[in-house]
Amino acid sequence: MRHDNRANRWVLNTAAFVIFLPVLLHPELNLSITPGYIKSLIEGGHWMGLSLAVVIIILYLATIIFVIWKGRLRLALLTAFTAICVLAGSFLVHLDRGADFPRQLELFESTAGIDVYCNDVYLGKSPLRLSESRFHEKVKPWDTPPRQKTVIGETLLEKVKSKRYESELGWFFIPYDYFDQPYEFSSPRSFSYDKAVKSGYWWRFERDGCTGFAKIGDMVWFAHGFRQYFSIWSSPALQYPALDPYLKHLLHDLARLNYQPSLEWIRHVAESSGLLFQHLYEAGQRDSRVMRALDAVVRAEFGIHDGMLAHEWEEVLNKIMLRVRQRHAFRTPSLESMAMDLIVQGNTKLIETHFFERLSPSTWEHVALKSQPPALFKRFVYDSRNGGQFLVMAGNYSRPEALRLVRRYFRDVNIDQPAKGFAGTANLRQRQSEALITAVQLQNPLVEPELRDFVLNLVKAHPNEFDHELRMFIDARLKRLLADGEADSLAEWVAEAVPLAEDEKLKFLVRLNSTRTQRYVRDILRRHPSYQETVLQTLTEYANPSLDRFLIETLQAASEVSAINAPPSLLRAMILCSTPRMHAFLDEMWNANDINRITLLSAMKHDEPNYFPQLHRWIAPISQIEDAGIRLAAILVLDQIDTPESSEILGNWALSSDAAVKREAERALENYRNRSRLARELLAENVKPDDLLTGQTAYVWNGRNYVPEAAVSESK
Amino acid sequence: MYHHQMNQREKYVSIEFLKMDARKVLPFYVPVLLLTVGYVLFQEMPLARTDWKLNLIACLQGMVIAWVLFNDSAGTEVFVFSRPLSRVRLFFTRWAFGISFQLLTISVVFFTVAIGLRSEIQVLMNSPYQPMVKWYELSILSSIALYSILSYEIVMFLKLRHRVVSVGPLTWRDYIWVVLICVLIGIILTGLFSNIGPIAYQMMSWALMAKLVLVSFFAILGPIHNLLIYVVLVTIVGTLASLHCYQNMEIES
Repeated sequence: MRHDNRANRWVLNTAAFVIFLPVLLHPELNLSITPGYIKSLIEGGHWMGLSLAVVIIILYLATIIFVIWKGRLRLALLTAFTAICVLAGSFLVHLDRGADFPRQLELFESTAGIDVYCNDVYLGKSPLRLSESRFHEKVKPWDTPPRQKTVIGETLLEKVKSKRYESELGWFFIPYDYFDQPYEFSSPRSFSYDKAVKSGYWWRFERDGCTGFAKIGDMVWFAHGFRQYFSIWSSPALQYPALDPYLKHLLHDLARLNYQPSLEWIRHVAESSGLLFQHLYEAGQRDSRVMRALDAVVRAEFGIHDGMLAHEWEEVLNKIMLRVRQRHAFRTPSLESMAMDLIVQGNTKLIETHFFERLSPSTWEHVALKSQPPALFKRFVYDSRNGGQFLVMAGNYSRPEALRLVRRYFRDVNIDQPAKGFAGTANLRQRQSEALITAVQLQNPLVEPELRDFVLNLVKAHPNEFDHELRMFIDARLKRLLADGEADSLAEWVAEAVPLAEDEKLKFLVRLNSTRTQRYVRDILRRHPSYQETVLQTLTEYANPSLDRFLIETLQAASEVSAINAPPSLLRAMILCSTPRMHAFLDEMWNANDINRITLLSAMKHDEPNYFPQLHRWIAPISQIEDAGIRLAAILVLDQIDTPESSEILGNWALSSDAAVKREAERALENYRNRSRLARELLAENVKPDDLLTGQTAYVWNGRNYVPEAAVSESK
Repeated sequence: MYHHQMNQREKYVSIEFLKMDARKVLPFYVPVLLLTVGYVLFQEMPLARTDWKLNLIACLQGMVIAWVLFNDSAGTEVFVFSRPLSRVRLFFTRWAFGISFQLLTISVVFFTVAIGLRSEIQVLMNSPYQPMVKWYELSILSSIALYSILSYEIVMFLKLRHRVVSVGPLTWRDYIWVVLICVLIGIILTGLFSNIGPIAYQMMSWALMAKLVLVSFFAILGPIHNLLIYVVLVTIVGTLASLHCYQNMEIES
């Protein structure tokens, strides 16, 4: 510019600076380098990270100076991009040398409500985020390994010495130092029991009063250098040994009140729903009375009653969304999902109005599937252009347009052609995998044939590569209610087309209520008689009415009409199979002789009789039993049934003249009273679920290994 | 009387001036317009604001219009600046002329989509999305406008700034730099406002500068609004700075 030009360079440079703003504000640039970050670098002695941060800040300032003061746009551009490259480089250094940067532990990122303790210091509820310096400030390492109240997999403890089974043990206190050995972050093989025990840090996880046991192998964490912190993510799978007795006591209390839940029960289940709901829902799938109780919990929790007005439903929706935000996720099934189902029934307008505005994305798929709001179909179609969640939502509509849309999507995920773009085959695999997951999630009978063809072609084109997705595909279909004729066609498809091993196909088919199943099962058992136990075991988990004739014939082949020689799994499968033919057959067996009655009662004893409504047909015959021997067998069953009818029969038998019957009936009644008392204590929160664990072995450290506490005291 | 005559004369000169500019711009603008309309008509997937190809075409359009409109040879420059019009009038006439070309493109795209021409063609091509998504596709108008105006303002400013700051005509190196700057800013903008919008939004809200200048806006507006704020800023500052350049340009005969 000539010296006498009147143009103001500050005006020009300021305009250039505004144009440069996105470059200067770019996320990859130094925006994450805050004073707090610099402080943590200095305090932690992370000199390499500090020098990189200083370099980036200098480049950043230089860029601004070059633009605003000097007006040197080219130089500024070069400097800004050098800063970006330095920062990108520092991310790579983060990954390789995590110790040179501040680190942060993130536990149970997607699960809310788990209390986390380390060395018995309470660190907070999950999802938990804690910096390394803060962690070391709060928690001091223990010199001696603590006493373990118990471990899961105790019988394996001896085998741990051989180092082969250590990963199977679930510990009350789980040893692990997340911040140690930063270079081994991604390799599960680098973990060892010895190293973990010597770490000095012992974690304990608790949820709603139940201790969650973790395995050392599950503590494996993933780490990533992102923004100013090197993050360590870990979400170990937890097992809750107290959960089973806890559920039993809650169900006992429910049965005791004839499945009319008390206010305490409702409040307790609502408060601990994070841990309990999934399991109670599973119980409800087998027993509709439990489901009605859960419905009462949902209605009480969200204030739902008959004849609600539109604004009241809106308030319920707000409550649900608030809980979803607090829990960081929307799960199905959950209290929220059941409440949402109640809203969906007859409130399509409300859903349409608030779908994008108030519902969180995690709820969309569930709500769209349940309500299929007509006004939102076009929007779903528009947003389905990239596949994923919206394609599933649009594809589940019972409309011909949905069929065209899904057809088109799966046609585009070409099986044989390499993907266009820079990522090549890896990108293709990813797209195929995503398409398979989409196929798993779609639940539209209209598009089912196309989906099956797509899945089959893909699996056959890439043998063994997508078997897991294929199993998910079949399993998803078995889990939902199939329409008339759908079960037959699915059974035909699984039996004839699916390229899985025969025993795997058998397990799937046994769950399908279809005439084709019966044919397949007979055929395969003729060729492989050893698969019979697999069939029967599966039938004890999934009742299948279409196999009632098969079960009866199997029993007849084994032992005429006598139950005594029948395998227990066969009897349990028969009890579960509730068809008129089976009821008639079992009644015939029951009436045939005393031995049959005892055997049937024993079979029922193992299967939580509370779950089987058909059992109630037999309560009356049980009460009429006169024979003392059979009464003793019946008491074992009645001991498991928590209904008032059962305790009434036991009460009558406790007055019996037969000493053995009287003693056993009194013992069973005492058990019933104990269960009732414990259930009441649980609901009043005087007893914690962990207190229900009895007869557990405690383990102590003997200097070299963990040994049962009793053995140590004996040796002393 | 004198003023009236002057106004008439100014109008005449302005129209002549616009005709000259139209002759300059149309050979470059029409192909870009056809490219835009062709893309809108024959793109099978639903059109969206995040369609990077369409946004790139919009950027190209803004760049081409600004480049051609404000690129005068030495002789033309002397002719233009010797007309009886103030430099402010000259600048805003040209600036508005450039903007009107972009508005024309937006109008053409609007009618192509809204009257159902695109939808009809796509139905004939067996698109599973049409005609359901027709009205949602109009959301592209905002992104075409924003990207086109943004690139128009940036190129206009850089070109006029160069005219004031540098001595001598633009060399091939200058052209490369301008293209490089535009491409890099385009890439960054695409990253910031389209593909990783939500993440960028989150990060930007933490930024010191964003906190100082834009946080109050970002707190209540989504990513597309970040782009809107940026475009408004660039349009105001870029236009005023370009006008400043225009007023201080040295013209030598």
